[in-house]
Amino acid sequence: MGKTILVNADKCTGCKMCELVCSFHHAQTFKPSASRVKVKVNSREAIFTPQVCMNCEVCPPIEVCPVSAVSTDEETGVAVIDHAKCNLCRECIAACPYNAISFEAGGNEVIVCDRCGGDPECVKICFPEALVWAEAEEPSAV
Amino acid sequence: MTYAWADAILEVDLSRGKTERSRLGLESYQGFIGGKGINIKLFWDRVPPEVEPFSPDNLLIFTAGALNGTAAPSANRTTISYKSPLSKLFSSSSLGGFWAPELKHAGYDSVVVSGKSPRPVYLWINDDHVELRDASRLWGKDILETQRLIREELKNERVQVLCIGVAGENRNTAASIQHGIVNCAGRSGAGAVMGDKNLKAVAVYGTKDVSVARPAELIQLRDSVLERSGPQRDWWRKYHVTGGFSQAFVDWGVFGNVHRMPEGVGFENMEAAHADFAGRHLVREPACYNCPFKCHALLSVPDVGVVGVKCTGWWSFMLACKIPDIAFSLKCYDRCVKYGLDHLSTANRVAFAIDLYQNGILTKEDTDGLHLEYGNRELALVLVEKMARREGIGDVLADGVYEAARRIGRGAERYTSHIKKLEIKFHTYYNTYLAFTTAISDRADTPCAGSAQMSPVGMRWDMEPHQYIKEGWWLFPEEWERYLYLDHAVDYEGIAEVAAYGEDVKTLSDLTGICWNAAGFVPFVAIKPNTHVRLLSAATGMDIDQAEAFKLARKTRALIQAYNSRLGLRRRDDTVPEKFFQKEVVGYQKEKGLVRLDHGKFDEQLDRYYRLKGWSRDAIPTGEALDGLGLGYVRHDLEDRGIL
Repeated sequence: MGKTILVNADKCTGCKMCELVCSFHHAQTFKPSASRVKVKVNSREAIFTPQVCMNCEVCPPIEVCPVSAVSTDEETGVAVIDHAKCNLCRECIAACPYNAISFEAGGNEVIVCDRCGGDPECVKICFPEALVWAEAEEPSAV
Repeated sequence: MTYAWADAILEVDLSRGKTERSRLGLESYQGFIGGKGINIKLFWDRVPPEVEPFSPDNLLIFTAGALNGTAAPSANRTTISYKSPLSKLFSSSSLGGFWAPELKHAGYDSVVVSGKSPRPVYLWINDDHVELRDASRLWGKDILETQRLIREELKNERVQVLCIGVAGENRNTAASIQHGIVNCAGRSGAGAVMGDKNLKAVAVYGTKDVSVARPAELIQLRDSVLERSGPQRDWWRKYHVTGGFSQAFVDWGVFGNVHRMPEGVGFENMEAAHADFAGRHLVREPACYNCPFKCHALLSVPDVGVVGVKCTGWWSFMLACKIPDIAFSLKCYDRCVKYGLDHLSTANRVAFAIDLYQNGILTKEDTDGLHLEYGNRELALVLVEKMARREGIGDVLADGVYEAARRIGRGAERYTSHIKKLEIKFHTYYNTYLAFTTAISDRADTPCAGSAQMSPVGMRWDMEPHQYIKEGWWLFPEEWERYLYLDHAVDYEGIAEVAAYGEDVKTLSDLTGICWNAAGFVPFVAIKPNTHVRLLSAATGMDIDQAEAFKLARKTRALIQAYNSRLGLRRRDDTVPEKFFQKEVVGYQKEKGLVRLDHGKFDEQLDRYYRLKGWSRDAIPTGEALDGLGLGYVRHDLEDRGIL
């Protein structure tokens, strides 16, 4: 398997710079709601978790999609949405264990990380190295 | 088209339960930029000076900085302005976190709250959907519980919330507006105004984009800032983990609120105590939105839970109660946060009450039978609770030391430590420069209006001053390099110039929403003024240089000064407590001894500062200066009132 995004939530500061750069890369504007990576924050218990497609070996969204619009990229293993097929039912969003798929109201589409074509912006901006671009040794675990 | 700005204000009339959108127009944004600037502009236009703080006509304005929501690093501050129930002046408090960028993404620059709701409500802003929702089940809840319940009710965990606690509901003049676990608009009673309006919280979630004029240039500038961010990140790490800062504060002897650091109480080994505590309890160092620094610490404190703290929060109650125990101090601090109380004013009030009791001015008859003494852990918590709920002696203290002293009489005012009625904080004792900047600050309390860069020795930068300048960290003009080597405990040279320049730098931050820590306060400033202005230009398309940006900063400052001049603010108010002139309480190098401030030299610097600002000797902006800043209408108003 090639390189993938590895998440080390213990290092995340919750700054959400990843969301900002992701949205700029994909939407050419600053719009966190269009980000493919999302930081889940529980400051009361000091837990910050970047959520992004973890290229699971078995991808539950594929199983639940009624129109077979979800598949995985052969090379990267990440989920891919076929927008021509997608009927916006959002079953995949509920099914993803990592909350890595979301609905972007502005573009009226379901979105998911595409690894920026192999050079992820979120990884480049992440100072605390909560997100790293590295060889995937094993399929990700929660 | 406006870039960076939404050019939209959300107007909220709580008396009528109505909300609507209005526009201020590009000219106002180009003249006042954002944050504090837009707030004073709106205040000047809409709130006559005679309006009382607890009047439905007092406004509570929440405004984002111009750069919030863009890629500009550390641009996340919300500025909240109102007529303060504590100082009775126009006042602003600001906080970091995530709220203002979210507001921009919802499509607004400001939320302007007027009136008073007949019942507790909270405001929910979700893009174009705006509603006032019932908050009766939230009333009485602490600030963490309030945020949790709102997210639960709205079924959206990404909602950003500003809220008040019990103290705000009870109009305690130290009541804060809180956000998350650590962000706090603490000083001068913003929470009391919000509570008076029966507004428990403002929740926002936005999905819109923020466009900028020249995105490629902005991204390039962002990258250059991030490249410079390493040393400050290391500095914060040291601050939280090794205890270097705690020890430095002890070495300087600037621990103190009512008093300078109490002697013989056991604060001598703070470095080891801090490092030990952090080693055992530091869970995480979180950041605010889009910020490369981690200036907060989340600590798991025994018997309390996770406490988010920065700077003075570590120590305020240790000093107030003379108990050298970080866990105790953080427990009191956490209680303040949950009640929505500014811990600095609250700790000051606790020490003030104990002092009065110890000197026979208060007796058990005044204190609900409590024996007030230093070193008593339970007492501090009891007093905090009484103040938050306005019970017994807590009701008297809840109005601040100035008002409390007036109410108590019997010479109580001699024991107060306040500037313009707002209780002072630690740094005022640090050196002459910071005492001066505290005295002249428009918020009447904060030495941070200056710059800690002027205090090189104690900050433990691990860098020699000449190296510091060589590497480009020095914030001020190069020709002022000599000021860096002065001992500002005794030397007054350059204080006025540096204070005025430092104030321009900080005011610019208050307009753009870039945090002071990134742009001008702590030692390794990643965003120096020229970069700051370029970020502003790239985002808004304004194309201004540093001189023009500083002029806009002075325009905001002059308008605030003019507004407060109408409320009677004069030179006599720009001072520190008299004890600073009477006793040796100022200085940061123990071995050199402490000094008392020199009235004559202090006054001389005040004259110079006013001249630099274009104000009269009595601290009123001159007609000429107002004209030069495009504030001719302000000049006419002051003339009509006989002030000019």
